[in-house]
Amino acid sequence: MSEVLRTEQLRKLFGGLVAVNDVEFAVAEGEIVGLIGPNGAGKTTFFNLVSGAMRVSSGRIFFQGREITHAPAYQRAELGIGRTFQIMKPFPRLTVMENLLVGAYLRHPNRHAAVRWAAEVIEMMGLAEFASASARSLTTAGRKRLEVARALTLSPTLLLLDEVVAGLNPVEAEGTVELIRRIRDRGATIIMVEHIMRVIMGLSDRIVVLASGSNIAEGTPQQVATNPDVITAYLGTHEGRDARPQATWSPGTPAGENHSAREDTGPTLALRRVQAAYGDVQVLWDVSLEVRPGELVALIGANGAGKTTTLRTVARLLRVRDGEVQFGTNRLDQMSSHDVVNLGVAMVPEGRQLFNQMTVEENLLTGSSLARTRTLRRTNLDRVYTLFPLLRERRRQEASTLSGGEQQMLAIGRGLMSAPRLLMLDEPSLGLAPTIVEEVFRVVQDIRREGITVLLVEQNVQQALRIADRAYVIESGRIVLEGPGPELLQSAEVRRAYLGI
Amino acid sequence: MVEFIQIVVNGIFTGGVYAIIGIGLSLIFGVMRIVNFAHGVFLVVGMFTTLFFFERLHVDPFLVIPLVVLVGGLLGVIVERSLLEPIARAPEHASILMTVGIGLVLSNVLLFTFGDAPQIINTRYSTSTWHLGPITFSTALTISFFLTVVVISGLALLLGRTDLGRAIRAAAQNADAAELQGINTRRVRSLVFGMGFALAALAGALLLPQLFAHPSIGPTYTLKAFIVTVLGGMGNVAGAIGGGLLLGITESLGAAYVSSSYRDVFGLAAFLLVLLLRPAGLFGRSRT
Amino acid sequence: MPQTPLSVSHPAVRRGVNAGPWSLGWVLVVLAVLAFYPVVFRNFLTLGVTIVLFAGMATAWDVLGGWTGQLSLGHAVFVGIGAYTMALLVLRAGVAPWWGAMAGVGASVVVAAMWGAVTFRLRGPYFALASIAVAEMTRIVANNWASLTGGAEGVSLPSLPRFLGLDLFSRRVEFYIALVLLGLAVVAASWLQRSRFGYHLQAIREDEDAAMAVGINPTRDKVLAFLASAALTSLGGSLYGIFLGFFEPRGMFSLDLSVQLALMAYIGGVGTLFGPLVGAGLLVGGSEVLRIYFPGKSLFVYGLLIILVVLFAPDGLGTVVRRVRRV
Repeated sequence: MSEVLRTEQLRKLFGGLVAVNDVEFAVAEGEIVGLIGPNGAGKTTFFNLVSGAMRVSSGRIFFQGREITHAPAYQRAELGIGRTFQIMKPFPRLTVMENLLVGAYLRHPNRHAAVRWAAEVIEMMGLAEFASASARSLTTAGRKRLEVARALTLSPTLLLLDEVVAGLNPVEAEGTVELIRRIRDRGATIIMVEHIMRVIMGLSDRIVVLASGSNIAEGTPQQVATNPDVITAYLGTHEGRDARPQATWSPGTPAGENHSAREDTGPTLALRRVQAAYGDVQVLWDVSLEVRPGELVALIGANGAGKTTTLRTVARLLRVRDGEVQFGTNRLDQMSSHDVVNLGVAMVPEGRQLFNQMTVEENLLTGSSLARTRTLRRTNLDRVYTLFPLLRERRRQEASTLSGGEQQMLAIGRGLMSAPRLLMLDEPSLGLAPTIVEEVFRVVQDIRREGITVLLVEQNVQQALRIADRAYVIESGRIVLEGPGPELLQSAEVRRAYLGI
Repeated sequence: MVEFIQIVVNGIFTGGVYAIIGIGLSLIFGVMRIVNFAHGVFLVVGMFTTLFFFERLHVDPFLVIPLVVLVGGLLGVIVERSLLEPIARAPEHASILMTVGIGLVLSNVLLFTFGDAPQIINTRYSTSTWHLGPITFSTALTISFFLTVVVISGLALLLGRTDLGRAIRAAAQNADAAELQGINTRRVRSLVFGMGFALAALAGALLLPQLFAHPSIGPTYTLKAFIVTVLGGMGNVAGAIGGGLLLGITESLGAAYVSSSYRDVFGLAAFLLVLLLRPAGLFGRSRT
Repeated sequence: MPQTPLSVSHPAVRRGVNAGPWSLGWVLVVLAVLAFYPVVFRNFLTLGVTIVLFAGMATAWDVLGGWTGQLSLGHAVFVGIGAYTMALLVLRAGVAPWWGAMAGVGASVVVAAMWGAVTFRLRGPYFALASIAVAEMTRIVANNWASLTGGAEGVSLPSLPRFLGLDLFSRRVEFYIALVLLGLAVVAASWLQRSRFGYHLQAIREDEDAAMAVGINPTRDKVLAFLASAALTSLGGSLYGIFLGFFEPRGMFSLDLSVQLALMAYIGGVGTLFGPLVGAGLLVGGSEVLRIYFPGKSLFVYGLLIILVVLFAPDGLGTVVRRVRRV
């Protein structure tokens, strides 16, 4: 079989961050290759490099033996590389049929032939009944299918599918899987990124695993799923089990023991059958969970399952479509974000989200913007500086000049400045070096020992479950499992949710 | 040499006022992501408000400045709440069209109210000057410049040292994260637009001694505001000070040594070049 | 990919693409109705010429602004080039005005090609800002280069040769020439609605990254759209010059004029066949009514309408009409 795509030492830098790190990759004609890896592994960036949406930092790309490293995106499309976008990019005000016609014209300059070809694709994709609807009126499932359909109008030799199944309900997902098989049977070569492991394990001839931009494993689905490196990349390390420090100023309570007895006065966070969506894209379908005072609760699940969305919904950065979010006696789902903070619910967002052009101290001071906390500002500042002595040293430095670990500490410190009763942490260990990860988990335990309730979203599942009193597992926008942290650690269910085996 | 210094001094005096205009526009762009095409008209509103108070109350124009600023701020908040907040999530061109429309309505209201004749303010010090060695200073412009320095320093303190200033900067850098710190970003947006309007109105009052006021000169100053902010970097408040001074001096030198009729071309050419070659502005890093 | 048996069974598939002859038919109907205007409103010919002429130029603006999604606030440059090239060739070289207008098209296309090549890498508000800068610089140069343009004093066209035996200063003749121009622009727009090139432009407008992913070269296509838009606007400018008889750079190259063209299209609805015509009718007519009560040229109506449209009919008033009709 001839080679369709090959990359040599492909590398992409964003500022100092290596998003794709010397990736060597080859795909043979007719293959379906699954590209997997945890959040931030560089999968979509890799697609952007291959499709020409981004320029490479170094390395080379060959398509059917021909170098395309510096060819613009539209030339690559002409050569036969079709792609979908993870963040869907339909032409919203054109009809579905017109969306396809745009691509069909590339191979069929004659209008009659182009319409005919677009009609054929629309039938094959089962979109015929929506042909005259505008693309923006489609549901998520419809738009995802439109993404695939539009790429198909190019009659691509190589098709890059970026998360075309995630977010669909089981019936829709089954339909799309069937379609992908049919596309392959018609002769296209496919590389797909997909978070739903069942799908990718079932469809792929071969799987390539990226982690932190590097190609860490490759093989058949079975080989990959049992590869210890892959399991570590997905579920985190076992290290640190015994590194947990003894508490210094409060009686060390073994993790796993329920703290609610000690702090039964504070409010409970309760989500009841919550649904939420980004525009038309529904992410949460049925999320019910409870975080009781003094608890450390972890929320885990695969990429795209709805962890961050759950936190954003509580913080009211996202509207609650249906269901209730309650904190004590207050309904959070009716409030604005800053009022939620005022009630004592703080969130440390994924990716830190610092105010990069402000100093460390200014970042912390913004954390105490509320009238309620302004009077306690000095005390809280001292508390944060005691927790993170390094921040005191760097307090005049601009936030953007800190290392990743320091930035994470600052983000947590900023969250503590609002004197929260409940602190939500979103992926605090993401992208950090192993020793820093240790530190972060120590800090999380320290925080809860100070009596602050913690709701933790973490992709380092092993570590998170070890320190959590209880944990919830979320899958495709639904809570599927709940139990004490250490118990879930042994659960095959968890492993299945992440690796699809 | 004396002539050169004199020209640069004049440029700095005008540039200071340009900086005030630019800071307002930059704040608005930074926090609201709106390119305010009505900014120059706000300045004209300031001019006519000053004229109005001066003629009706017979108070010195510099003394009515607090009142002018107040009127500007209020108008700004009203405009933001009623016309801009509803389209906060609309596509980008909506806010461009909206501010164009606001500018047209405001300048025509001025036209109906104050008429088509250019107006000028006459005070006892309008023509008086003072000297420092061989350099001549207009008294009115000197007072303007002094006020400019005071206002800009005050703004710097406000933005740099107070909770409100931090809230504004936080909202500009990352609105979601600002909300997560308990900052009411909706209120910050109204406030910032009010400040922008007030600053433009203030600039109008400060420019009044050296200019004819006419309802139609708004777009000229909108353009100057764009030039200042693009030179300094869109959304970069400190850069706007540099941009303002640079524009003032460039205009002054260009008019004196090249051609006064091409005065405005220099600023526009610099604007275009910076847009194309250094979109983050001359004084800043790119914001991501 | 191998062909499978085709079954274009679903009626929606056919409705999903714009049927060409149908919309072209509407264009002809509208133009035919407009052709009766001089007969019916004999005393309002000047108003009629203004509406139809501005409708034509706004439709031309819309080729770039509406169909391609590139907001230009500098189109007065092409109005000015059209008017000045024509007038100067008439006055200085004795060239017939229609050939002068053609030369204006040539000049506009050259200017647009350079302008587009340089500024089309700017996206969002930056392209609009750059377009203002270009237009303002052009205006200042035209205003001061007196030896070429006559400077701020302006130029006047004392007499013109007859065009196919018609008096070009007759409002009636001007009306029909403007109508032909409008027809040209609307037919161009209806072609954009359904042609390959038109779909390229619409795809670029909707999402440039996705457009590239289906093989479209956005910079090239945007420049082409700009050329077409500039050429048509320039023709309108030449006619506008004749219509005015006397003009100066302050008016011909003004920011106000650029803004007016954009607002007409937006108020009627960008990227639609008749939106610019609707907008021109409303705005020119509205200002005319207002002018009766308030002397002095007034853009008040423009401002008010655009605010209302942005708030309540973000897709333009033309689409409101369509929506109402469907209900």
